[in-house]
Amino acid sequence: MLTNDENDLLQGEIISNETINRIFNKLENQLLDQKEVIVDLKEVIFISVYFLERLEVFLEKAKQLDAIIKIINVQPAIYKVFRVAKIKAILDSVS
Amino acid sequence: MDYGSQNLRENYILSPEASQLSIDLYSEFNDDSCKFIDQTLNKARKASAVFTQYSQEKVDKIVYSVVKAAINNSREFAKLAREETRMGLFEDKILKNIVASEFLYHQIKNKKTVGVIKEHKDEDMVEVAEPIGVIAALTPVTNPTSTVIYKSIISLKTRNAIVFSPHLMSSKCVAYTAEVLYKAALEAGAPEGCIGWLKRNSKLRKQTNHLMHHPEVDLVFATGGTTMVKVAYSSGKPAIGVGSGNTPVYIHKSCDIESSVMDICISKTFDNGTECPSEQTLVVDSEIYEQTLSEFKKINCYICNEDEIKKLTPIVIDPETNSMNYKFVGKDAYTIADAAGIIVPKDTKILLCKINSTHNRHPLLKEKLMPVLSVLKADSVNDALNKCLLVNHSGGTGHTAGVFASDEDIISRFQTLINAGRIIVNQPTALGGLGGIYNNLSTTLSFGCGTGGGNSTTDNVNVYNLLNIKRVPRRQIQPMWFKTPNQIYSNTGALSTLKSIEAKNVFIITDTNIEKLGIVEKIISALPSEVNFKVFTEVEPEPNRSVIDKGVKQIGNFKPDHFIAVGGGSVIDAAKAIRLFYECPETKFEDLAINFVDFRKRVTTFPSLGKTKLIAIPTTSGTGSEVSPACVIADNKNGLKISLFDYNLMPDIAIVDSELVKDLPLVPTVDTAIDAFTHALEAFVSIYATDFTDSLCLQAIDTIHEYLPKVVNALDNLDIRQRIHNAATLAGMAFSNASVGINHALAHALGAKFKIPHGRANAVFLLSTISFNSGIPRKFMPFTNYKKYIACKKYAQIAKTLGCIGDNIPELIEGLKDKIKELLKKSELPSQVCELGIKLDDYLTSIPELIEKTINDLSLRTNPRMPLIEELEGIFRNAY
Ligand SMILES: NC(=O)c1ccc[n+]([C@@H]2O[C@H](COP(=O)([O-])OP(=O)(O)OC[C@H]3O[C@@H](n4cnc5c(N)ncnc54)[C@H](O)[C@@H]3O)[C@@H](O)[C@H]2O)c1
Ligand SMILES: [Fe+2]
Repeated sequence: MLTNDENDLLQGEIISNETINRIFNKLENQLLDQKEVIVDLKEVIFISVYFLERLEVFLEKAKQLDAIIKIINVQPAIYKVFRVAKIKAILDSVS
Repeated sequence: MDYGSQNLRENYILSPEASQLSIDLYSEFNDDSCKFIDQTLNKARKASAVFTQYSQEKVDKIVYSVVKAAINNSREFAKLAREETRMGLFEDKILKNIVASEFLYHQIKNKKTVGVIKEHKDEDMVEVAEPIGVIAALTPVTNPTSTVIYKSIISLKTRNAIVFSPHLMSSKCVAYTAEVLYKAALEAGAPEGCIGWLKRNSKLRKQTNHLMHHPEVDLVFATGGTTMVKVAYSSGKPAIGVGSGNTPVYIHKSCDIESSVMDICISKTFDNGTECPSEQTLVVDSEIYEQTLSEFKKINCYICNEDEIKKLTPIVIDPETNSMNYKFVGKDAYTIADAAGIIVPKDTKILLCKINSTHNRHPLLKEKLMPVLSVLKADSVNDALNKCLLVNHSGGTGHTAGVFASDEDIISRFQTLINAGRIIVNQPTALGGLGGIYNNLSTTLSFGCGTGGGNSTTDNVNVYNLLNIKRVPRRQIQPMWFKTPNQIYSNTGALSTLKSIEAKNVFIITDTNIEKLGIVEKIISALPSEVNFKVFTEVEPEPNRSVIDKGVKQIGNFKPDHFIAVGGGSVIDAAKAIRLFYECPETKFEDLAINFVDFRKRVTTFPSLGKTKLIAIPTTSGTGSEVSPACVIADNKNGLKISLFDYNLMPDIAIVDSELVKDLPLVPTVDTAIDAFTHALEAFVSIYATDFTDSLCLQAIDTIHEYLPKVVNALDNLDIRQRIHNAATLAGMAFSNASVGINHALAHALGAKFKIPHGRANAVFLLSTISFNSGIPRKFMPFTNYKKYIACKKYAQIAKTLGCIGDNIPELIEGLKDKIKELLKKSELPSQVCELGIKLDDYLTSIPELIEKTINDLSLRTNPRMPLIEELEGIFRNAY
């Protein structure tokens, strides 16, 4: 799981590329020592194209490392973005 | 469309043959040269996904920023377009860019394109926007930058991502324009990848095809020549493809010549004629022909002579391709004349070519996007309209047409005859077609040409064409009605009310039995002495059409102001029909008999009645015909019973007097009473039931349940008779508004097949239909006002009214069935089919026929449970 600090980042409208980098750098670090990483999107209400791109890359890395990623508590508006974007890796990880 | 030349198009896209391979094209072109497109579309896909989160406010901010950038760069874009394509006029190209930005913005800035975009208050329905996704946009060489501006703006306004594929000859200016606008969009917060474009390279044609067939593309939006549009439509994607035209313009003698000529000049010279809605052929009334031409001359247009036309024709229309010569598209008049070896002044605006015959279609009657105009002289309005039609149907259907006239009749005839998506009246067609400058058409650079031009729309393509519009209709609860005669007189002796009727001529309808019983005499003596009357006694049970015709004939010159029907249901029904055909002799029986599910939506318009009044005086206690809007007439020709139904048929006055039923023998007494009981029972559980009908039903059921067994042993007791008589009328009022149900459908079928009196036929199905309607339906009867399946509850309510005791609904329903069994027994009525004397074998073999009749019965439509065929079979079997 992300620390509280990073959890704070995963909330509201995620627009800034810098925030997105911090979130995914942290998540990618977790892949080094964890076989399962949970991405909790409960508080997220808006994501950008860059967020989608980083998420896609992150899932690709996880796959190479045989790690399991679970994207949980996805709000419907965000889930709609995932569905419209039709990115299989993301859709497969949403639970 | 913006250019018509075959040659030009070949540069742009694959041949039509290749388009037939649409399915395979994606994989075929999926090589390295197309990687860039995959990446662009991948990004566009993500942009379209992220766009779904944007509010109207955010979207409008982006649109504003892009419009601003377009206006600020309009000169630069125009310069690049002119330099690269070498078509058109720099000054006009600026205006086009302004139209595509400022004018377009003015029209769409307040339009809603996110969330609820329209509310239809009257229909209780809203429209909600859903973006399309990723759009592949093809742009024409004639309007490259303005099309990019216009398509980008409407695409962003609708939260779509767009990827441009330019014509090779305009690829640089398209890329530049798209890039400038994209940057402006990003600055205002648009998702990355929302605008994309293909760059100039040697594989552009291949890439365009790859793009159109790409799985990430949701819509192909093509503006260009007919071939390109066809390719777009055959891409297998949803497509908006808008193609070429050929604009005829009628100059009628009622027009203002000077102003018309100036308008045409403005239009035909706009961007050197590259606008596809621009005038192609003028059709001028002979009376103003010379004057019109001299007006053109006055403002520096050149009228070619025959020899010059000969020279000009192959320059304008390429003899090889037989369509306009792309080399001269968007060139000025002088350049074109020079190429044809015609000497004209440098400042010549338009070259006019008088075409004398339409017989062998002259090549110049085709589309020519350059300042060359054909002119036809018309001998008459009809000749002019035919000539316009000829041009319209020579490659111009669905696109644009124009008319200059002050005579509204001419405009009306023109707009009816000519097939064009925009018919421009007293305006320049090119600028008029663009919308927003001379009129309120949607501003556009894509002119839909409808099926006439092989397109999907005749719209000036705009924001609403780039949205998936979701309609959200709210459930509409229909207003229910309660209609009944406005005067009902009841009680023993109520007949005396006839004394006060204000009538002159009364036509009395009855049958011989009633006459013999002395009832007609009673009626006559109850009428005021000064009233004239005539009696028709020839009604028979189950009256047919010939009885009705006879009745109408008998009226002759009598001129009745009142009809009095005195008798059973047959007489009252006959009277309704006689009155109808007397008042409206032109009415066709067959039209009125057309079946319907909801009388408010039915096909037939029923005539309204009112010249006469109908007073119904029942002599049986059952049918309710004295208050009902129905009459049943047999059609002996094809052995059918036809039900006419309309509140116009309802009697105006009903007199419910027990004196008139006291001689009704036992058997018809119980038969008709159980019919009334069934009316009330079925109306109570009907899907059309209301509080108003329910209260009548309960009262009728309770009364018949109590008094029917009593009347059996006291046929001449007027008090008991009156109670039953009243109950039958109450039940009649109920079913007249809530209708009946499956029990009647079954009884009609059985009665017709085995000649069983209607009441008895009803009686034998009472128990089985209660069981059927109390079960959990396999199919519910759909009706907007019937929200919950409450048949069981309502049967339980009846049970309680009749004094049944039970802890739950099933117990109460069992109690109700016991009460009914008891009622039938005490009233000497059958409760099973076998009691009717029908043999089992005969019955079983006729079940398929009975089912067929039941299924077609109108009564079934208001039953709460919709029976399946196999269920009907079960009901028929169980009822034996
Ligand atoms: N319009 C409606 O809403 C409606 C509803 C149900 C039935 N109907 C129609 O009504 C007709 C059946 O009507 P009905 O059941 O009243 O029978 P009916 O009118 O056919 O009469 C049956 C017989 O009883 C005789 N009769 C009538 N009153 C009498 C009296 N008081 N004393 C002695 N004999 C008398 C009649 O002369 C006739 O011979 C059918 O045609 C049916 O289709 C109409
Ligand atoms: Fe009936």
